Amino acid sequence: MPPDTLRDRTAVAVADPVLKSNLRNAVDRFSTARERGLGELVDPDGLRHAARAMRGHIIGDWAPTLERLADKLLANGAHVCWATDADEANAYIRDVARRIGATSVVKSKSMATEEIGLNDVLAADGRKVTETDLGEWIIQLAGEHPSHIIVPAVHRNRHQIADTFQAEAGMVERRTEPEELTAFARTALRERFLEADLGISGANLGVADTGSIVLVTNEGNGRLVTSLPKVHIAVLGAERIVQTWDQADLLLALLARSATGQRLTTYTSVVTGPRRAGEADGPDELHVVILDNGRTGLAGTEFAEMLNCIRCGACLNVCPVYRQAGGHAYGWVYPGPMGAVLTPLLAAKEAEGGGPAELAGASTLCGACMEACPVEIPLQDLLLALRRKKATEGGARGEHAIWRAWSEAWSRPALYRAGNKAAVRMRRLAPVAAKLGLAKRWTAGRELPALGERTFTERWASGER
Amino acid sequence: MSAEREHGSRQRFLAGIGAGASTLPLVPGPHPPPPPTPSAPPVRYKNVPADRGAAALTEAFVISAIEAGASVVTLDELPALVGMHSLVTGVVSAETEAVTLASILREAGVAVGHYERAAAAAADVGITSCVAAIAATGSVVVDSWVAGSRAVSLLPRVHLCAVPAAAIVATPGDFLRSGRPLPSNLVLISGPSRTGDIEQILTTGVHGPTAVVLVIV
Repeated sequence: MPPDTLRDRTAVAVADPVLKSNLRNAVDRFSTARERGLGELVDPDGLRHAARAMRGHIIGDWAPTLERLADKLLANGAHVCWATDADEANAYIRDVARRIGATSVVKSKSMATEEIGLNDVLAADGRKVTETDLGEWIIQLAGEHPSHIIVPAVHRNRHQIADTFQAEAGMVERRTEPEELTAFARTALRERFLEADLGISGANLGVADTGSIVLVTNEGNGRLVTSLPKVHIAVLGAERIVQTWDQADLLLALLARSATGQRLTTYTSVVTGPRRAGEADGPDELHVVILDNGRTGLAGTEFAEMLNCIRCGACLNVCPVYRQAGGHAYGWVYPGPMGAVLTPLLAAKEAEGGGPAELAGASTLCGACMEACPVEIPLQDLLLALRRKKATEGGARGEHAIWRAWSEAWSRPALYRAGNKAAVRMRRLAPVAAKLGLAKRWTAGRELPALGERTFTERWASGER
Repeated sequence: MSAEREHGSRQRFLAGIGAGASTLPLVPGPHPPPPPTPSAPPVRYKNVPADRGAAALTEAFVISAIEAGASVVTLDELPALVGMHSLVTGVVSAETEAVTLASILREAGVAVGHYERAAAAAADVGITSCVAAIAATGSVVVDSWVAGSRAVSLLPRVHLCAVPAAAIVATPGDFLRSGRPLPSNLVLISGPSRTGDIEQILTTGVHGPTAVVLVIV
């Protein structure tokens, strides 16, 4: 478990040399690839702008779109579960697993199932749950949480991964080359796929017009999860929907390029109902769990644009705070700028440390996130709005009083001058004072600039130019 | 009967939409959203030629497919694959073009059978055709209904795919926006299975095929 406070989690993260070098390597690579990938499109910024307007329309038309999607899914032969929170989603999936007597469950990477803590629920019910995304499997074996939404094990190097495979996955002869580690995982996980009774995936998009679920993976585990077990359950965040295939095409063109710079993710699967008569494989049952868990309450609020997020991870890669701190510092499932906004909105009660609202403070407001976002979510505006919300809800009375006093003093010329004079007269005390109390945190890693012998007003009055 | 497959309360779920709106006053931010619109402009790609003739599209597709990590061979080169990829056993899907490729491999000594899960999991090569191929991304589109299965292109070590030249379109939108009826499972495949999860070093074949070989027919 990560430490309880943002400060402690960050301290752990920045002290980890593996995290630091792997993270920098990964985010630099992704950022460069993203620019190259988007650069192959004609007018990528125009497309991002159009995607924002389009997502705004879909969320504005949310209920009818969801109803259409659900009706089409049902008509295609799928089960639909309306899950208003994590407990409802978990209970439904647990009951399906019980009914079919599932002993072995394979999962492809899904942030939504991380969000609801599904693995623990299924494990407590006696099911063997295997994460099959390579990075996700590594951290499952190591008993950790993802630190990046696209590359969950970015904080571990090959030697640490080999340690984990030896200790937790029965690797006999130690191998450390990435190709060898990957080959070991292929063999081990292939057995799990072939024995699994139940496959669980997330969903990148639900397409209302045809009642389809779109799922993208590079490794192919998403295909295996949706092809081999007799039952497939997809957990769809209620906002991850489009109405038409035109809309899906635009988002798919932006998604992979924003995430990894690829033109398309290696496997873009479109699932429309369960296996049909005459097909040799595929699940006999398809279940789509439409997950709310705090999302619908954001419609119509100043945070509504957060619902436009397509989970590409581009904002993580460009964020100066994320690049230093990594994902675990954020304390919940979603890291980076999108996580700093989403966590306090979705998970006020679940997040560890009880203070997800402080995440909005862990930002420089530089705006790189909005520049990188494929649907132009104004993340820095939303972070500011969260800070304002926190302030107006009375979270910072002491800070309010200090700023009020400051503004009071500085709006009176006499007090302003007296204050400056006092500061200059006591300048020799400043380096000492800076090491005390609250100021200590600020000056621990910084030099306090030296103060002059006279105030600016005094120098001006004496004719010094 | 579809009502039996709907679980939880649709009405209660949908009633949640906007339920939080009154408690948070709307403060317009510095970057207000544009007017909402359902339209999604066509995506245009710099790497597809303005010339949409068959030869130009085929050339663009081949370049993109190779860039995605696939290899492209001619029919004459097929027998040479057997040695190169150590092909002993294979499975084939239902399309005519796939069956044609399978007979060539059989003549070259590969034991190719029809799809069966255990056979596919052990097979060296899975042979399919595709319903479309996309020049901008180098993708082939495999349709579970036309192919008769999903896993022929997935479980074996090598995926061999026949690409009818007439099936090549310029962009993903040309295919996705066409309104074609959808099978239970449709997949756009762009190169071999890959991962960068260990130190961001690109490794192929983590779950799906290690190699994708395309034959334009």
